[in-house]
Amino acid sequence: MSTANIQTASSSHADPNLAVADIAQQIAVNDLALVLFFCSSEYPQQDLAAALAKYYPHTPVVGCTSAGELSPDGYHHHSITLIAFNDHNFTCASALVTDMANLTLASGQQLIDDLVHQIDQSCVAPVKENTFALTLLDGLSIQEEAFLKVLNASLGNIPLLGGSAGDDLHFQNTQVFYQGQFHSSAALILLINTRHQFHCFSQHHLLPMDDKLVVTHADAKRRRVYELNGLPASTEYARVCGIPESQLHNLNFAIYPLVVKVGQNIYARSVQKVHSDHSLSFYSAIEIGVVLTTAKTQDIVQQTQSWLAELQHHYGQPQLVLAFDCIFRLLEIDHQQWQPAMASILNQYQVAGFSTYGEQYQGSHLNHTLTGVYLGPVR
Amino acid sequence: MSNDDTDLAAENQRLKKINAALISRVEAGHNESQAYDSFAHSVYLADQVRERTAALNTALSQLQQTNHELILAQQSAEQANQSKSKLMAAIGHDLMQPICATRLIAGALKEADSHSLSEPNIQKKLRAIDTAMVDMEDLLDSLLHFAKLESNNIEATVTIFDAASLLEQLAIESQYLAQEKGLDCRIHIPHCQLEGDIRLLTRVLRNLISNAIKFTDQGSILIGCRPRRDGLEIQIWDTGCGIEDQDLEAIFDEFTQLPNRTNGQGLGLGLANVKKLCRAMGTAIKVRSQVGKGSCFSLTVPYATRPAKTATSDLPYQHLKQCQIVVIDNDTSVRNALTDLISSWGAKVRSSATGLDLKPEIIQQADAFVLDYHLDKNTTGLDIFTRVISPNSHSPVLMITANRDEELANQLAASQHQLLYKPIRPAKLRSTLTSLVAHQAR
Repeated sequence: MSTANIQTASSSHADPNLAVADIAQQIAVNDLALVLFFCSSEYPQQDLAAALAKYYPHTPVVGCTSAGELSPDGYHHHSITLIAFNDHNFTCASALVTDMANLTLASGQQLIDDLVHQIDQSCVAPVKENTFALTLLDGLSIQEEAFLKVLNASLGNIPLLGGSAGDDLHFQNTQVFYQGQFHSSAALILLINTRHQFHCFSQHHLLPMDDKLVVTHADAKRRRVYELNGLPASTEYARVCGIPESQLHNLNFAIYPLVVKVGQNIYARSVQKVHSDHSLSFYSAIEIGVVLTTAKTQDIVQQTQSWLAELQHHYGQPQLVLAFDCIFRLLEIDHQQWQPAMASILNQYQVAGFSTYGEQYQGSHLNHTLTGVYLGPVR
Repeated sequence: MSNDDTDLAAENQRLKKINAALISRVEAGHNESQAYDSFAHSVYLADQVRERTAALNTALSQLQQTNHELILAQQSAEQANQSKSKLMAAIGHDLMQPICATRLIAGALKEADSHSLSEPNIQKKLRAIDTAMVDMEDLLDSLLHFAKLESNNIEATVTIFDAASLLEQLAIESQYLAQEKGLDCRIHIPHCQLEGDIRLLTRVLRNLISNAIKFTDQGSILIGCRPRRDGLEIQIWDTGCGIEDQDLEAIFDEFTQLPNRTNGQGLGLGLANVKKLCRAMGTAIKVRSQVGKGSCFSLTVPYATRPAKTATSDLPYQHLKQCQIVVIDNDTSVRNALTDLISSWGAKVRSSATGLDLKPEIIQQADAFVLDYHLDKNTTGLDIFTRVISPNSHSPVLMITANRDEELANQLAASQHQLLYKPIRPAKLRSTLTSLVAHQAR
């Protein structure tokens, strides 16, 4: 049994009890500061909660449902991946926000102050520069932007990153797990203080092209776009992609991304769903008058490899890369049959995480990125 | 309406919609309550943070660079300081010895009553004081040279000169010094045109020769040459104590003196100076040595690549050439040595034991006089000056004496005569004479 500072394990047992038992065999259960897990939404949630309580009764356990699980063993479906942080090099504080829409600046500040205070009591390293914040959000809440804005303002210098929970592309039931229970329409916030050196990052593999799509009719509150360039949204989108409208499905959303330009940078606005009225649902905020630009994807394997190599060069041998990896990246990897190459990268850099419905980085809700935190050796 | 018109109308309608959407977006301005605006604001802020971070990183790396430079500067300052401290320690130590010796002897002279002091005894003590003073003068001289070399970039001025003329000149000086120690000084030089900075070369060779004499107690000094392909290798051989192999590099370090090569003289700057001068001349100083048998220091000077205008025109101190100098000293060996020495600089020398036998026209033609103060029969150089010289000549007078009595010094200062104490060092004598003659000529 491993006794490393950070341990990861995964299991594909369909029975939640067997799955957690399998993992508990691989991971020491004592002296842990935190257990973080990502699981398929297909697990019966009450049974899974009971199994986690049974095997990790003395440790805070948090997690969320996902659209696929990543571990150093590769990509998994219908599985559970669990990461355990030992209490010698990590300490954490966590909170659940059940009313994301109504988090005000004042209540957000209070929430963060309480978490920082908790960390301060038990920190393993000075809070400043040795602490990062993780968010796990309900991926169907449509509240991420406003929520993150408040949270980021309250966090000050503590870097923030995270992912939106998924549900294997069913778009019905995304949940976060806190204090023994699954919650929907909720957000989980964690402050993690560590002796390890770390670096938070977010990167994409998109290149903007020439076609422009102006949102001419939309319901911003529901992130639903009815018209692009004054034409039915899905019709116009299919036209610029050069594919029949009937071919608009998840894989093509992944291969024909749309981005907005802000300043010198581009940010993906990923399409989530085509409706029968030719409208499109998005994974992130949209507004009338927003100009979307078509984009193409670049070599994801090569880019991920060189990015992680650069991080290793700066931050040393990876102990864990906690990854919030957009579901569209997985769809493209699957489609291109790059899984073996990517799996070996996950193994080389000790990557664990999940396929998301959106990524959070420095107060922004993003799509189509690999966002995460690279944990190097203890400082 | 035709189909084309319908299409155009539809297109027009579509563009109007796009226009309206863009206008509404622009006119809405920045509205933080809108989710998209929150996003745009966040990424904009993150962008700014990135830019600020990049700017800070640049500033940081500049600071690091500056820091690095400051550290280097500090290290070099510390080194200079250490070097200075070493210098101060060396000065303190080396100057203290002759000063102590002088004070002890002076103390003994003061305490003793006139009966216990015989004339030879007094002379002996005075000579000891004089030796101590000469040592101090040497120390200060090498310090001044060192300071000069430290503060200035030495630039070589290349001229053409004859090897034999230069080295014979140096050999005569050396013989004078070597004879005092009872050493034989031999010279073996071919006539051959060389190219280089004769002043720097002279300083180097004089330093090497005086070292050779200093560190040799018996035997001989040889100034020799070997023709090499790239120039004439000038060699200074001695039969001194020699240098251990492992010390052959260290002797060129500043303030370094080897235990077996020190007799309480010098700061250990001589060879450091030599090394610097050689580097300025673009040559290297070489040394080989056998402990107990002797050493050979050598350097190679390139042959002349063009003919000299006149073979010796570039020699220093040419003011003395064709000058007439009168030497008056009652000590025959000193008189002869001075005559040889001054003649070797190109001057025409007339000498006399008393001065009374010199014809008036000789006095009248003289460009300068070298007068010993203590002459026979209680006559002084000042007496001879009054009786023999001043009626016939206004040429300058260089008074030489071993007597360092203060009253005498004051008296001579009042007389406006230049004064040199014995033992006379050839270089000092030459520069003093040159300056007197040059001054006279102007």
